[in-house]
Amino acid sequence: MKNFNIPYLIALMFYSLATVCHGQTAAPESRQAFVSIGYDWVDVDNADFDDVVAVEGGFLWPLQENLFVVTSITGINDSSTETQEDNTGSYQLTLNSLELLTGLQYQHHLSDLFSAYARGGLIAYRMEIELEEGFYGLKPSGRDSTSDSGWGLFVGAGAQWDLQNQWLLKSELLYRNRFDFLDSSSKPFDVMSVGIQIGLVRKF
Amino acid sequence: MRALPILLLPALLLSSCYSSESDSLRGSVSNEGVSVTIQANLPANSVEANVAASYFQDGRKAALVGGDIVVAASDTDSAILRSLENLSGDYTSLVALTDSGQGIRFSVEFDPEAARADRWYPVDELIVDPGPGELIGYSTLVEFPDPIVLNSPLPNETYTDRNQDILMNWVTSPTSDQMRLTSVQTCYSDSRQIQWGTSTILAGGDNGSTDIRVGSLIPSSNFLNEITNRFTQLSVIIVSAILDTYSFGLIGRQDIEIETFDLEYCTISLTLFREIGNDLGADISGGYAIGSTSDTVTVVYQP
Repeated sequence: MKNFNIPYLIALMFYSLATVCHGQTAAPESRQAFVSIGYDWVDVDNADFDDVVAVEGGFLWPLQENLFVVTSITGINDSSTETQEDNTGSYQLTLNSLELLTGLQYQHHLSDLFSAYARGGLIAYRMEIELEEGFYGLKPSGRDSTSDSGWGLFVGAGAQWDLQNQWLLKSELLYRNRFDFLDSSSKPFDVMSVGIQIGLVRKF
Repeated sequence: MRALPILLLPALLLSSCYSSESDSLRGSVSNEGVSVTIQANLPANSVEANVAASYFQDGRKAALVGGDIVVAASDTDSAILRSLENLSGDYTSLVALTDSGQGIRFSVEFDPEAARADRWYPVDELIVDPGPGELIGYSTLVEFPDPIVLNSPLPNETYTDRNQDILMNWVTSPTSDQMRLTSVQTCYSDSRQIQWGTSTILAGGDNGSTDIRVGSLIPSSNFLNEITNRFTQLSVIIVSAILDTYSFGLIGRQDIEIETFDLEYCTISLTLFREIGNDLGADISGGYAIGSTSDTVTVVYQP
């Protein structure tokens, strides 16, 4: 397992802030904070995880006109597989994660009230997987879990409607891929998700 | 065969439809202690043996769960036996071998990771270990008899009348081992398929020839096909593995409504086994351990 944890996430956030402070000198745009709620389709090769509701909150700092640094926190909340069975027993796996997304967002104004945007960057994740295993009542059942940290990528595209009074309504399609979860194990795997989100943005 | 969309009766069943001698190699499963029913079969001209095993505790078939596995090991290979139906207790696999004279050793082992090797997630990181079961450590060595090769009938030989005899010829062995004939009949009518099996010990033993009436394998009226004992189940499992036919968990009573069929044709797969018994192993109180060689030929009945 990689030696990567919350302090590393904090360092990444400071890096983002430093970039923002540098960019603020020439930025005509407003800073923004956002929160959104979404529905994520979680996909792992050879496994079928539940779709889950996800929440994301973050900030945008202007670098220059139409270009922002975006940093947000989100995650996977209790996405489980169906209970599967084989000769050995039955088993179900559940994923939970905390993720820091940092990257750039480009925004294009289509009218006074309407704009489209695209964003992309890196994910730093901390993810846990829990196994619940039973043995048809012939041996005692139990649970096990393990966790790992790593990197991934995100790409999103959406649109914003200006609601006036510094508020915007946004909708987005967001793709995330966390690479090599449990990379020191015999079978590391990627955790991909695609989500649709709707949220509110506050300009400062 | 497994992929055919419509299976009127997908069961492969077994009965003793024609006269036979009692089975001298297959002992009863004991009501006390551990029993095994094991068969290792080496088909003609093959470098892989079909292996099948079931374990019993106090007369009841035992399912191996939570890391308990049956391993069959030859001179060059070892394989974990798997069951197509969870909890059925009937385990099977293929084991490659180069020297059949060394036989195949069956053993019950506790290997939590190997038992879960087919799972998609890393079992070296995620595992619930409930500990070994009571069958761990039992071991049985199975040796093979002389190979058998059928000289007749020829593959795809066609029979048109139920009163015809199928003449089977093979080269005898000086050891005069027990001979078992197991057959799988598959009949077709339009898009429907019906399938069943029979198995019996040849009364004449290893005398080099026998004949079977087509009508004894494919009756003209409805009949009940039934497997009531464990003696012949593994032979059916072995044959279904040879023929890639699904049979696990489907052993039982089955009405074969052949009169509802407008028979186009039937295939009859005949597998002749030469069988020997082997020691069960230490502390095993009942059952059998059969080593066998076989040859299979498929003929056609087209009325």
